[in-house]
Amino acid sequence: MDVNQWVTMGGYASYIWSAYGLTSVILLANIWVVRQQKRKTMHRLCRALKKDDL
Amino acid sequence: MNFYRQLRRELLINARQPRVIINATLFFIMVSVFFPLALPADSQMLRQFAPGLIWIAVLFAMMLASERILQQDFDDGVLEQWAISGYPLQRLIVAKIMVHWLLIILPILLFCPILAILFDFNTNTLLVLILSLVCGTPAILGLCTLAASFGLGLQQKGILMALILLPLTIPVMIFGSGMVTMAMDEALISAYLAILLALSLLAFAFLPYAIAAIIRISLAD
Amino acid sequence: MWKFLYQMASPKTFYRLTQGWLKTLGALALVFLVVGSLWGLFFAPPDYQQGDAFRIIYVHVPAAFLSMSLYGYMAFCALLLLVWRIKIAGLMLASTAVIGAWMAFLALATGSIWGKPMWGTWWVWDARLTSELILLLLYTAILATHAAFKNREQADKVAAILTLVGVIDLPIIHYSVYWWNTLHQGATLTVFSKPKIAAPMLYPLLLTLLGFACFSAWVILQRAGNELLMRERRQKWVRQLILKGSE
Repeated sequence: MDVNQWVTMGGYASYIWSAYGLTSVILLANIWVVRQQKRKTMHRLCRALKKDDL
Repeated sequence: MNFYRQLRRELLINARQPRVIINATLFFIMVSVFFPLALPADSQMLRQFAPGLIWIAVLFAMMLASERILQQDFDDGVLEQWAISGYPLQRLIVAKIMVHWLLIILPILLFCPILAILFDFNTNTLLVLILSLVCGTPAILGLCTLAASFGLGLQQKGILMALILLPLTIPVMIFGSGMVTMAMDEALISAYLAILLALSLLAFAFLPYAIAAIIRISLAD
Repeated sequence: MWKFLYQMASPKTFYRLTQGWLKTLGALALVFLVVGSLWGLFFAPPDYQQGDAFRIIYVHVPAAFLSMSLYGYMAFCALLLLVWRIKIAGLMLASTAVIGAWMAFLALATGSIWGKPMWGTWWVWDARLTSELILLLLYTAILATHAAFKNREQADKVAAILTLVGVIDLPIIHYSVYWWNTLHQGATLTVFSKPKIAAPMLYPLLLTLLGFACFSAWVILQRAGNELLMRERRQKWVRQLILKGSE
C-alpha cells in the first residue's frame, strides 16, 4: 500500500498510534510483571529450601 | 421469638448510644444544605439538581452510619457467638438492618419538609420524595451493610466500602432520583416506584445471606 | 472429560498441565496479535464513514469483549469455589481479576481515544460506555477487597462473594444506566451505532480477538502458577520442582 497513507493514517495518526501504543505498553507491562513475579517466587522458594525453612 | 428479642436489643443499643444515628442525620442535613452553596444560585438549576443531591446525601449518610453497624458486635465477639449459636445468622442480620433503617430514615424523613422549602418543591414532589426514600433506602442500607461486612477485620475500611458501594448502588440511585425528577415534571412515577420497590425487596431477600456468608468467612480466621 | 476436570482440581496436576500449555499459548498469542494488528493497521481498507480512525477497533473490541467474558469466567470460578469448594477456582479468580481490570481500562481508554475524532468529545455518558466504567469500578472493588485480607484463602472466598453479587447486579446496572441514558438523550437512542463490518475488516478483528484471549490466558496461568507455588510450598512436589529448577 501507500507508505504515506500508513504514516499519516488519513490524518488520524495521533489517535491510532496512541491507542496502539497504550495497548502495547499495557500488554508488555503485564508480561514483564508476571515474569518478574515468577523470578522472585522461585528465588524466595529456592532460598527457603536451602535454609530448610520451607 | 429470637427475632423480636434481637429487634429489642438493637433498639435498646441505639437508644443508649444514639451518636451513630445522630452523626448520620447531621451529615445528611449538612450535605444537603451546603451542596447548593457550591452551585450557582440560580434556583431553576438548583431544582434540577436537587433530587440527585438529596439522594447522594442519603447514600453518604447511610455509608457513614453503616461503618459501625457491625463493627462493634464483631469487636465484642457477639457476632462470633451468633455464628456458632445455631440460630440462622441471616435473621439476626435482617433484624439489625431493619432497626438501623428505621432509626436512620425517620430523622431524614422529618427533615424532608425543610428540604422542600429550601429547594422549592411543591407538596406532590415532597410526598414523592418521601415515598422514594422509604422505598429505595432499604436497598441502599442493605448494600451498605454488605460493604461494611467486607471491612470487618480491617483498619482502613472507608475507602473499601466506598469502592464496593458505588457500582452496586447505581440502579437505586438512578431510579430514586429519577422518580423525584419525574414528580417535579408532573409525570407518572408508577414505573420508577415499582422498580425501586423491586430492588429493595430483592436486596432484602438476598443480601442477608451474602452478609452472613462474609461474616462467617471473616470469623474463620 | 469429567476425569480431566477432577484432575485439574488437584494443585499438582493443575500446575503440571497448565505450565505445559504456556509455551503454546504464548506463541499463539504472539502470532495472532502481530498478524492481526499489522493486517488491521496496514492492509484492511479504510472505512468509508470513519476513514482510518476505525482501525482502533482492532484493540478496542477485543479489550471490551475480554473484560466482560473474563468477568463471566470469574463468576464461574466464584461458583466453583463457594459451592463445590474447589480451591484452585479461588486462585484463578484472583489471577483473572487483575488482567480483567486492565482490559476494562484499555477498553475505556481506547474507546475514549476513538471517540475524540468520531464524536468530538473524549467522553459521552452513553449506556455502554458508562456500563464499562462501572465494570472497571467493580473490578477495582474486587481487587481492593482481595488485597485487604491477609489470609489468601479467606481473600479468595470474600472476593468470590463480591464477584457473585456483582454478576447479579450487572444486568440490573446495565439496564438502569440504559434507561437513564435514554431519558437524557431523548430522541437519539444511540450516539454511536456499530457499523456493519465488512469481511476484509472482520478477519483481522477475529485474529486480534484470539490474540488477546490467548494473551489473557497466558498471563492468568502464569500468575496462577506463581501463586500456587507460594501456597503449596510445603508440598513435596513443589520442593522437587524447585530443586530441579535450581540446577
